[in-house]
Amino acid sequence: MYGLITKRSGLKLLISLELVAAAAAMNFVGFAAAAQDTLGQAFMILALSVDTCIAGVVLAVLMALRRVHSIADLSKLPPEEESE
Amino acid sequence: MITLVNDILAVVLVVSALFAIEEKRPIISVVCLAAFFLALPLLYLSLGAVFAAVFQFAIGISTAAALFLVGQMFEQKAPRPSSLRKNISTLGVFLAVALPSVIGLGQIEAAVSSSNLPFSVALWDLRALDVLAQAMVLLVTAIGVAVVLSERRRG
Repeated sequence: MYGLITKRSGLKLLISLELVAAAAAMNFVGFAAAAQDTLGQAFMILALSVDTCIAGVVLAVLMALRRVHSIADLSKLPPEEESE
Repeated sequence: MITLVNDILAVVLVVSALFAIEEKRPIISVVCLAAFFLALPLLYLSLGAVFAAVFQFAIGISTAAALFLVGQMFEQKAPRPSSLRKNISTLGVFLAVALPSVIGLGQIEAAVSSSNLPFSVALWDLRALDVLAQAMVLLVTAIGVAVVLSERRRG
């Protein structure tokens, strides 16, 4: 959460997002291990799949931004044009 | 012994996550993230979650590889080197914040396994504060996104 709040670089935001998702998955596995239950691992695998999809989409957006606007800092994005 | 390994892995996870966020150069940042993704399956293995460890290892390493390529793309010519003193002070603050939860990890695990509580009871009785804090974070994030989008539309 610290990285998501303080950093503006797209790559750092993605890394922070990955860390948040890994922390959530770690909670699933930790509680599943503590409670001797394998259901948590199933939830963790599902969460990991969704997280990978999100990372792929964000990575694609970052590369598109880099290609079109030649920027990596998301705060330097040009304003969106209004379409009527 | 297992608890000690868990504690060491937890500290490695915290430190590598810290450097992944704080490091100026994208390549070094991605390398720290790869170290995080290497330590995480080891922690899962020591917790006895073999399937989760295998999945995490495969997905983590592939993510790190993809991020490494993007990091190389984002690498700038001459980045300003980060000062050692600032890095050490930031590491100290993060360890001071993370140490209570690392120490408390074993106590929570012992409490749950000794009383053989169901998952929902363990979640709501032992980590209720965390769950409520996460709900608050999600709520604040949703409100923040709504505010940002409305400002963008107005501006």
